[in-house]
Amino acid sequence: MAAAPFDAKSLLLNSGNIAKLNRFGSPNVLSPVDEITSGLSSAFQLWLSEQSEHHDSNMHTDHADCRHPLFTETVEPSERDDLLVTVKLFPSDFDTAILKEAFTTAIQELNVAHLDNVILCFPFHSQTGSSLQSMKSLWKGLEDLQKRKLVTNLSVSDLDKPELEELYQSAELKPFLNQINVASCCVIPKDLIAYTKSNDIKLVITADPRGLSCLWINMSHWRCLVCVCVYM
Amino acid sequence: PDVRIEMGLLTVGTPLSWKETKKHAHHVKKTGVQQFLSIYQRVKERRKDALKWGDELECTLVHFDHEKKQARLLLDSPRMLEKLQDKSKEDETSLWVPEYAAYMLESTPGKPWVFVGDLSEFNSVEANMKLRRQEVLKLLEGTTASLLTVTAFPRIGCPQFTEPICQPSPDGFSHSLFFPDEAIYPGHPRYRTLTRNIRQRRGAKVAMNLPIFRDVNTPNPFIETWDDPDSQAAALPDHVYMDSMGFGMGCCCVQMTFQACSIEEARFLYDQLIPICPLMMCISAASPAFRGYLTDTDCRWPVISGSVDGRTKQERGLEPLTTEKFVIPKSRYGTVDSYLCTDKYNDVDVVRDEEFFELLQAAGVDKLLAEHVAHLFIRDPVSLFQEKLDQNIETDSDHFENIQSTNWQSLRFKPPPPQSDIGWRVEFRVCEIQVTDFENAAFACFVVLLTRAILSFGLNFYMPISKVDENIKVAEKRDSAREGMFYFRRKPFPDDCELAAGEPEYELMTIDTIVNGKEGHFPGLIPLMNRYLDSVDVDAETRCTISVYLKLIQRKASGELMTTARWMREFIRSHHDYKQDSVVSELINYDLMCAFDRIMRGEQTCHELVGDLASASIN
Repeated sequence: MAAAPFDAKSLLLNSGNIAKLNRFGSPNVLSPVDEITSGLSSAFQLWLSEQSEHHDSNMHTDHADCRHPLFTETVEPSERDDLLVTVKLFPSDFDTAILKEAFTTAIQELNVAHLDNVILCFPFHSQTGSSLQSMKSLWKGLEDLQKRKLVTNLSVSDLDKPELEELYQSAELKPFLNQINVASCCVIPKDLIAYTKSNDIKLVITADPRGLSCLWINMSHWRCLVCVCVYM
Repeated sequence: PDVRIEMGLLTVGTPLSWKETKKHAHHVKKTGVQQFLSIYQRVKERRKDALKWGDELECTLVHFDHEKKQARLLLDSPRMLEKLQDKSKEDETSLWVPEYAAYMLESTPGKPWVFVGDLSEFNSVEANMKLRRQEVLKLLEGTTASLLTVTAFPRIGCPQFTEPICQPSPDGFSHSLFFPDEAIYPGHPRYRTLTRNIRQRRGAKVAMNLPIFRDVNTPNPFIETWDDPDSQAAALPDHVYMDSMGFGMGCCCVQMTFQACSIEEARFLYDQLIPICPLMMCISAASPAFRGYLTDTDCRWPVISGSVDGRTKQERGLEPLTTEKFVIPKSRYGTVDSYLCTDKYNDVDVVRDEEFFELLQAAGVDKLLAEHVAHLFIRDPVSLFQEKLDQNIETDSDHFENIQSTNWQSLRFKPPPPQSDIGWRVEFRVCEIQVTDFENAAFACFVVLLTRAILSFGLNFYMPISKVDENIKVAEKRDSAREGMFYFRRKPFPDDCELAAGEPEYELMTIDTIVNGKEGHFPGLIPLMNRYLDSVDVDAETRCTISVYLKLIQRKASGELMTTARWMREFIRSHHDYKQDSVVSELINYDLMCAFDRIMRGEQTCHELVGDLASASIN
């Protein structure tokens, strides 16, 4: 395996479909964070192992494409109508350009023309800090995509009632659902339940730890993580 | 469920005698196979049927005589059903149908549950079950009767076990020394006809012998003597002897039926659920006593299996084959004998009717499915109505349903009815029914969610049928949840097929390991289901409800919570009237049924059964 330095300013990596296969040798079910890290790690290792020492063009470019053909999965066009395709975006910063780039990459990787739902995980670990304005501008970026018919529903993740209310009031396209992570004792804040019910927002549970905080500590240089969920 | 088809018509019909039924047997069977073929040719290509499912609860009417401190089974189903069915016409909460015994009522949701993306329908299952029970409880207001969900009423067949009190009818339909004919549902001739025909076909009364639970003062040996020579010959020492269909078919259970999107998916689900059957039987065990005695078993399965065993002596291998076609290893009530998607694990000899097998194959049915049908059709019809004799192969399905519905197996593979938009379905039939709607909802949702996880991950639970059969024998035993070891596939993930040379595909595990997993060793059904649930955007409140249900199953599997059988057993044995002789007296039974009633109504929480798991789904 080449040990050359890696200079790329950005990197594209696809873990393939981690739900169908338990390729990590463990007899046990992995946590979502372990799945993502293992999936990306496996894909990256395989790509890396196939880079020759002399042909280092992939290692010293600005944009490294580390995708491996084995680690990919697209949606069959004939099945598209029977499926709901959801993409969850974890941008590292309040940067609408990153968001749109991630979105475009996602639909290209999946080989679909539009998404049914995009879940935006607000950058909790942003270096620049958040403000109401930056939240709204990110959302506006997504609304733009919806206007271009690239996505049907827009959703959010891990917002509490005040944050959700703030977004709701200024949003042109209202959030479709709010994903929350609830510990096993199943205590959902009552104000959140009431607010979502009265404003017709679905409240759903995710196993992703809030903002995937533990993942960020390990991968602080990532610009945007994209998680895809496809189901019938 | 099989009666629903006839109940819809409500023309009672004229049942034929056994002799006449036997004369028409071949005609009925051949027409039935042709009806299957007709359906199959028309719907085998159906795709994208909605994922729907439903539960069936079999319930028991119990009359309490508080003066005499007796609980007796209330023989009032016909009258109750009339009122309930009138009400069902007005709202869609429930559908009610009769079952074998005159003290039994069966209900299903008015409309099947439709699988929607956020699983929110799972938050309504328990409420619906409660509403159904309430319909009956309302009708019973002002009486001392209740509707309990007890799998095996401990004193079925004991003197004065019915209300009104009836005498057994040794010359009637069942010839039973214990179970009166009045306790068989009288509102439709089907059940009495089945009882009589099965007995006449067999050439003797059915005979079930369960090993008695040996306690300190239990007679050793335990022997009962009977005036009836048939019984005297059939009863075994140290066993609890039972002699009629009522002991088995008078037991209650909870069943789930799910519709698959295609025949391929239905066959795949059927196969993957086969190894699950013994596990669910073990965890849901609720039958520790029969005919007033504690037995060494916890499940109804061996009793209900024997209660409709119409095999002749030749078919049972007790006499050389002269007039009969085959030796048949199992009763027509039993565990399934073969997988539908692969032959690799079908290591049990499957008796099949060659004529029908060839007929099906010639019509293009693949070998496995043809064998499945040809195996079901070795059985004679045991109930036949004059009016139904002549059938249209294209539009009717009664002769097919006749044989299909009297093969009572752990799973049933159900083709679409003709001219309907109902799809291919699988019925899961082994679960014993629990005391509360909370527990019954938990079991029903558990099995359905397991099917979703199986489909999402393409899980593989295949192992030899012979091992599944061994597992059932273990599951039936007393306290199998804590003591039993079950064969199970070691690596259920679809790409786990690479095994080192000599590495076994399956091994013995405890229920705890199979259900809850073992770090570094086996993933566990519940962790797999949680992984599935994590990958779907589940409605928040529903996710909490489901978590509670999974916790219930998890704790029953780990032994932290008792199975219903274990709880009943300990209740009986610690009762002040118990004399350590395995006898469940009138008083013990009365107090036990009173406890069932209080717990069911929420007046008392049974921590041994449900712990601190308050249901989150009902407001």
